[in-house]
Amino acid sequence: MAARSGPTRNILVKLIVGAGTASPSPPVGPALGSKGVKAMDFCKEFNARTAHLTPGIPISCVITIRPDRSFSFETKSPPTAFLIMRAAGIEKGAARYAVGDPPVGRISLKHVYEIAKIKQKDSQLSGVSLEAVARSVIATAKTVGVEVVR
Amino acid sequence: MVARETTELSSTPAGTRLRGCNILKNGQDPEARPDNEYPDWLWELLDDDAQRKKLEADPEKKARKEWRKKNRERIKQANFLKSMR
Repeated sequence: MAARSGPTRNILVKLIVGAGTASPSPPVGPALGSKGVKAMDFCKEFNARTAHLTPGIPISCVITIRPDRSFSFETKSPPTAFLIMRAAGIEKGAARYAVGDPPVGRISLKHVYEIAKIKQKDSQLSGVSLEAVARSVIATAKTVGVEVVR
Repeated sequence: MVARETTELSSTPAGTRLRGCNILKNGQDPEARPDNEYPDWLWELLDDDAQRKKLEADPEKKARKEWRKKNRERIKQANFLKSMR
């Protein structure tokens, strides 16, 4: 997201960081340092908040940087594409997806159900029905090239 | 979709470890439960006919989807024309 700078506005920085493994070096360091935030502070707090999660798993987080250089951040669940690819046992998604292409992986509806349960814990999705979240997981699987079967 | 002799129609029978579905450090990948323990709507997610019927039953949602589709098409056309100038 482009940073909107101005003396009175908050700046939002979106990052994907491995749980428990944030460190001041790239990608975290320059992204935050350029906005005037001490990367070390963020890393300590981020690692503390994600200590209960599997180490290294990518976590999306949104950092709000206030004009006085203090910051707060919210962590969300790992990217859906990551969860799907892990469930299908593949490292990378399909390079391109067209109607006739063979799928690069396969997951079952039960995987979709569990992944949807993980995603629904996000604050943005808490009001959405689990069925709708599951539908969006299936759509993401399609973009990654993973087939969903019963 | 192959129907098996057993009552389990899912490709992951009960007891299979659902890989990748755990994000907690001290947790484990959950085990698949028998088919009947999952909500009914889950099995309809892949069924186009069932989804279409549900959409027809909800006219507001259907109208919303159609409007969004029209708007996106219109934006794409406008962008294309702009790029041609």
